[in-house]
Amino acid sequence: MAEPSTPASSGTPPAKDEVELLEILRLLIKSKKARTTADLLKYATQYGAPETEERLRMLEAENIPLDLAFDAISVQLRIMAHKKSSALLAECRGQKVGLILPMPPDLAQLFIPLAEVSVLLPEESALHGPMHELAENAIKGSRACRAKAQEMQTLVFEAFREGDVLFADVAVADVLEPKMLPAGIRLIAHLRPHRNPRDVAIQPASDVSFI
Amino acid sequence: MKSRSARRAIFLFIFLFLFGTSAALASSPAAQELPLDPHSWQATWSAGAVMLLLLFAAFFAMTRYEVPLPLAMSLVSCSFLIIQWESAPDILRRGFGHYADITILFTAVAIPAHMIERSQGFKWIAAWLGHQLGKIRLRHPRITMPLLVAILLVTTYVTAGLMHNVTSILIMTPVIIRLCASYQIPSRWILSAALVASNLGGFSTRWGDTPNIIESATWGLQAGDFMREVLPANLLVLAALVLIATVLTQRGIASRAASAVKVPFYTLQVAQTAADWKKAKSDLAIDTRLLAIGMSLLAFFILLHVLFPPLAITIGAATIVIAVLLERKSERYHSLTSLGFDVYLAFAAIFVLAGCVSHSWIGAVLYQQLIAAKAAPWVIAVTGYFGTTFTEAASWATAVSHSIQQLDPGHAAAWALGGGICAGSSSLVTAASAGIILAEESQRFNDPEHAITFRRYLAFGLPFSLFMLIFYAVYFTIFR
Repeated sequence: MAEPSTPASSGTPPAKDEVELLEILRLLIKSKKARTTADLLKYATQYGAPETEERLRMLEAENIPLDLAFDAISVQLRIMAHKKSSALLAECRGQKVGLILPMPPDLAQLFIPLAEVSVLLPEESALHGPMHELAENAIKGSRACRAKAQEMQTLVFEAFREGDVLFADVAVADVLEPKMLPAGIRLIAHLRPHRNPRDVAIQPASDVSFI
Repeated sequence: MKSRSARRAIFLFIFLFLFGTSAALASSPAAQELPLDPHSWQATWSAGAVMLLLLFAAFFAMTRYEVPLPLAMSLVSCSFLIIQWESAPDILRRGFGHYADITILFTAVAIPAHMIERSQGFKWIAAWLGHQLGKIRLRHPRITMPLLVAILLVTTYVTAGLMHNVTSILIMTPVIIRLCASYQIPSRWILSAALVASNLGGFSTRWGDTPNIIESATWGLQAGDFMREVLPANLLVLAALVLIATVLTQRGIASRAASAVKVPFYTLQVAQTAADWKKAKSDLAIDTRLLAIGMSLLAFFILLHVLFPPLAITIGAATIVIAVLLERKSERYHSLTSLGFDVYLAFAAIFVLAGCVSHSWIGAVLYQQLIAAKAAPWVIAVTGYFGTTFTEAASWATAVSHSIQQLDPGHAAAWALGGGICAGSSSLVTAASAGIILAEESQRFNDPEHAITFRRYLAFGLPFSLFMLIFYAVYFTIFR
């Protein structure tokens, strides 16, 4: 049985995704837990989002009301996230990119038009919906995927982050084995908000970017 | 403290078992479906003791050493066949005869149910529920836990009623663990109660549980009979179950809060968890085609099964054929075998085992007990309870339903047997297939907090199953 999503236990240190903070602040506003811009600032500080915190501090100093302050940081954070993703994708243009399944179909679609994409399916577990089409021409099996990964310039995979440690499915971790990958390979992780029972900690060969 | 209470529960259980069997020992053997030679070794108490010993050894091996159910049950049933000696061929044929219907009906429900599961529809619902609960927790923290318990147990009940209890527990176990983990709610009592809810749901419909399929065939029960005569009783038990699980979970939260360090930034953490569930939902790719096929076929099977009971096998076979043909070409074989060889092997073993138990000192003693009590519903329920606890739900139903039906062809006897089996299935985590699956699934998370072991379940299952037994015995005696 494939694993359903599970948000991480709230006891674990959060991954500092400032765009995620927007949804959190939206929920806090809707539930009336945040009633002023000062409240937004308090929660942004607790979350650990320095850029948002700085912007909210300025807005609070200018007595900007809650809804406007939220709109302002919302636009700012989304633009920042867009620029970051665009820059990452631009760097992958024309490169050999390996997409290690499973991953959200929307993520795969970002790379397909601009890179020389190979889909890697190290374990033929249950694939769902649009993933079936991707998997049709995939490299299947752990050994074949590991061999193909050595030819890639970039590998994209799904992971869970707890503190500074990244966790990936055991089959994905097998493909990401540092000894097998060429030096300087770019690793891009899509963070999922949950840890699965089959996840193992990984120690990537190079720095990991997040999309 | 915990082990002391578990030990008390075991002593209570052993006492009740000894009480039941000693009463049974006073009686003499009687006629069986397959005549039992009173001079054969099978008819002696020593053979019965060996059989019980083998069964206990299998349960122990499954629980302590994680021996797979199909392996343990196959070895036990083969050992029982050895004990049966010259009667073995007849028992084997009869066992497989009962097994034949189940193969088609169970598969007909399981294939669409697995399609729905593979479509990620349930995961989407779980993620949506997680997000909504987070929003409620931000506004009304006090009602989140009772609401979560009620929703999870009612969902388990309904899915068991619609898709069979084994499928239900398979789907709901990870959902319960993940929701509880994300909101820091102890999962132990909810998971334990979910097993009972799945048994209750299974007992509420004609196709919801393997014993029901067997009893329906024996007594000629219709789907409407279950709705009218069993559903009200089961809803009352479900209400009690939700209440008790809520109280126990509340106590768990209180004891955890007393010992744990206070979570910093609680409000932010709750909002973050809710946001995480929303992200999890948006990352999910639902296979709408698979979901639509699974839902339609399940509705097709249930509806036609209710409308045309004599054609149940034909409808089941048609459901299987349509499901496989509508499946993606590359997935057809996988879909047809979605239950897995081990499930069929386990069921085959259980039915043979049931035949052997029936054709032995154990079966003779329990049958005589029923005759002595003139097949009173409470006796049927009590024997059903202990028979299920020490054999298995489906095997017990197979072993005794025909004999009981001959003693009392009325519905009350069928419901009393079903009630006893339902309560017995809820007594130990090893008493029914759903329990074994619960134990396996919950231990996959490698977190002792969520693992439902034999001992962790016992403290909940045993007292609640005794309550169920008393309730059903009284209910089906009054509402005959």
